[in-house]
Amino acid sequence: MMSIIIFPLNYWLIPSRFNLLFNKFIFILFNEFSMSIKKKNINNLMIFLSLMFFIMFMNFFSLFPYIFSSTSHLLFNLSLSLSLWLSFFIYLIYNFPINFLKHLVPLNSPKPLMNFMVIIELISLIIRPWTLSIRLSSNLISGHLILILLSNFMMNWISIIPISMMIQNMLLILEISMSMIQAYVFSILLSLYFNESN
Amino acid sequence: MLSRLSFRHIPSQLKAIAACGIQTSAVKSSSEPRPKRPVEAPRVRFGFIPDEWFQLFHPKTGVTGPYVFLTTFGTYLVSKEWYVLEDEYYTGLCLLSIFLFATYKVGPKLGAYLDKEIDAVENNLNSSREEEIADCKAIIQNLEKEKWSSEAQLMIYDIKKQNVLMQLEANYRENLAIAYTEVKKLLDYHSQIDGINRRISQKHMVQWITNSVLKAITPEQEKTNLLQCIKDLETLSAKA
Repeated sequence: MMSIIIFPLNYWLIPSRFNLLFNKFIFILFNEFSMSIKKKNINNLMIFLSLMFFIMFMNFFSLFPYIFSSTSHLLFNLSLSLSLWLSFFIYLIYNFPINFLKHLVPLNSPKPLMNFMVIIELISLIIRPWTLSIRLSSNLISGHLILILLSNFMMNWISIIPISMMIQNMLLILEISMSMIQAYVFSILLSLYFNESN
Repeated sequence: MLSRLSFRHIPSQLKAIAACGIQTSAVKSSSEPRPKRPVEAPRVRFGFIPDEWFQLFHPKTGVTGPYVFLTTFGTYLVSKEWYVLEDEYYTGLCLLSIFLFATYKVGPKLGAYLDKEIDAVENNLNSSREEEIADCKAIIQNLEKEKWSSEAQLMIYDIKKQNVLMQLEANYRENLAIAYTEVKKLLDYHSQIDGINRRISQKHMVQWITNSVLKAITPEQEKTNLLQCIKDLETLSAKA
């Protein structure tokens, strides 16, 4: 609900402050993402950009009090990463099966190791969405856990609240930056997987 | 059911139109004032609370009213444990302090930078509009100049007409002179022919007369004439 309020609306030709800030942010991200995607697939970039904004706002608003942090749950993250990754994977197998099979054996790998390499490569392929979602949720869980622990400490030790508040503030700044960085990592890695699939 | 309620306020004519689904009625401009975009952000207190919220208490309680209300209401909520101060409260407090710090420290600089950027966008849009206006003005000026120069064309046209008339006059005079000389030549020719004819006929007449006279002279006459001549000569010589 808050994210709906916060997203800027373009009613006027001349942008407002927030509009401009948002546009600049999107522009920077667009440039970042366009480097990781092939030029012919640049139209699909909006999926990753919107995914990043989605996750970023979810992360960010979960820091506010009394807001449920959905991105710290594997169910939520896995449904995002697995659906996208699986679609890329199916696309790859369906359209470029030879390429897919070729990439299972790295170049110049010794013959006795080949079987082993195929298994490793397959595992590394399949593990991708899991790593993505587990990375995000573990980061969020750990951050929130520390925040809650510290605020519990504050609750019990009100006499040293200025010091604990400073630590909590630093942690919160770290968490805010982490909420952005993790969203960026999630979507950029997905865009890289997308790039590999075609 | 709610749609029926909304239809209740619509005049019967419009109701008929709405029932038919025909949207031919012209859109009437509403009497509401057009929404205007506030250029400057409204005033806030504590970095984020709108100033209007404080105005609500102002007529009844004065300036301190809202603060007293917030404090007393807050203490009531806490003391009666309607609001429990658990971990989320402290995290929220820290988050609020961060946002207030950012608003007061980074906010003005960021706002100034963004205002500059917005001004740049506005100037960019305005400059294209002004360029268009300047272009139109230049076109109008050019057309006025063209009009003025076309007025001069009338004069030039008149001069050219006079020039053509003069050329025609000159040509006419030249033709006239040629005709004159030609006619004169012809007349001269005729007069010369006449003169020649007259001279020839005169000569011929003289010859004819001379011949006739010579033919008419008889030898006796000649003889008498000669004698007369000799006699005359003698008389003359005698006189000398």
